[in-house]
Amino acid sequence: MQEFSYKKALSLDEALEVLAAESHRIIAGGTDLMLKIKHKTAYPRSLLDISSVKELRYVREENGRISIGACTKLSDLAGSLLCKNASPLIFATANDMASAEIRNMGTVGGNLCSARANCGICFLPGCRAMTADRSEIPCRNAAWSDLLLPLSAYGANVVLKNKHGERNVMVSNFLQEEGTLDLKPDEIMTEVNFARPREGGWGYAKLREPSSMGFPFLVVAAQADNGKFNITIGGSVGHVYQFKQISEESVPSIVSLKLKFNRCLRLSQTYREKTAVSVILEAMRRASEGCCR
Amino acid sequence: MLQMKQTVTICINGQEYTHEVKTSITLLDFIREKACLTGTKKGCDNGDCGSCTVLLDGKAVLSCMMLAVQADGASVLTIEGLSDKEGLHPIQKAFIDSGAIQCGYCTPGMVMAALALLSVNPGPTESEIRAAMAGHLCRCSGYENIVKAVDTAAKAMAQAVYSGERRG
Repeated sequence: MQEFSYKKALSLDEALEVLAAESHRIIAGGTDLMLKIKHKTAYPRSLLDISSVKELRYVREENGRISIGACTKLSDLAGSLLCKNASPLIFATANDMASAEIRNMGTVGGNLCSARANCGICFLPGCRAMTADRSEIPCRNAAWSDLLLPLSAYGANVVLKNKHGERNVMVSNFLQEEGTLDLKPDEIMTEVNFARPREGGWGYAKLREPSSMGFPFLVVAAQADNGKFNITIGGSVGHVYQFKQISEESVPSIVSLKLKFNRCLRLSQTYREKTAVSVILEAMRRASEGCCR
Repeated sequence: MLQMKQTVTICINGQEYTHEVKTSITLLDFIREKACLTGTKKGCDNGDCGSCTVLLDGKAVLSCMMLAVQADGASVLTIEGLSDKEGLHPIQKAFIDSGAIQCGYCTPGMVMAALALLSVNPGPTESEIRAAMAGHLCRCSGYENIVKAVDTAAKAMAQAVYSGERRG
């Protein structure tokens, strides 16, 4: 593996001081970055490890807002009673992601900062890991990361801090063209937060292949709203889409006219177009039944 | 000048190992090459197969996806730390008795994942066992006997606790 220097920060202030002085690539759980280094699609000269910054590991509610620290492990979310009661989409997503081992390692901030799920691991014909493409632009064939969908559905903010202060950015704006991020070199994502969602009427459906440990090719969150539905669609599509006040009858036209599918090495566009209708309707049905409270 | 090496101390199976290592080596390579504990296997080295699973401070993690320097000061349990003077751990026994081992390459990771599951959920359902083992690939066994082995181990460990024997 490529060599790099390594520094572990034990507090947020220490990490921000280090970043203000010199450039480092942040590592937390490392499940995404380690793969990118191994596949030579990331070439960090130095790593700053923030996985031991305990002040960034929490799930809490204050004044009607749910806050999740960026170094919170995915397994913390999957076992959080607050998350289960207050943000069922995030709870369902966290319990459905990857494997128990990866959930014990991966963090909320890491999942969002590798917004385009890892490239170069499918090894299908055309996979970047099998070509000479060594750019750091996220793989165009990859799906969006799992947590992006529920956080977008909840209208979450991310909090970005540097030595001089902090700023809040909507999750939907944090993600920019081609999967790049609105994150400056001296900034660290410290938190995601959102208003406690209205209880009841949430549904969630996913197309994965394989069903365990697979990529989220299509993920849909639906919220029942006065006989209609607000839906958020992620996965291997152009960006995370949000549609308000949708009826079940309009789903086929939304899929054929409004969704842009990414090129995908594993499932054809025709297959995903046909399946998308079923996945969206399934999320709506679950929302009607209040599957996610 | 960038420091490409660091001295790392990791407590593996109750014994401390201190080595100066490249900052880029994984916890898996530290365990296998510095501590010379080769029970933990390198399968895909890609986070897909689960054969490198160890317990880090009691939690199952993939040692191929973690740097050794990240585990500095941590406590690691590998497959070698399971058996003791009284013999094999009930999970190891159950894997043998249930025919859950063929080539055996995936077995150390599977056993460690089963231990992580049973330490928090002593009476898992079949679907809970399957969910806990989802990150582990076995290309010989067909998985059925592995699920059976974890269930058998859970019952044996519950019986041992009930009888006041060792190992909860």
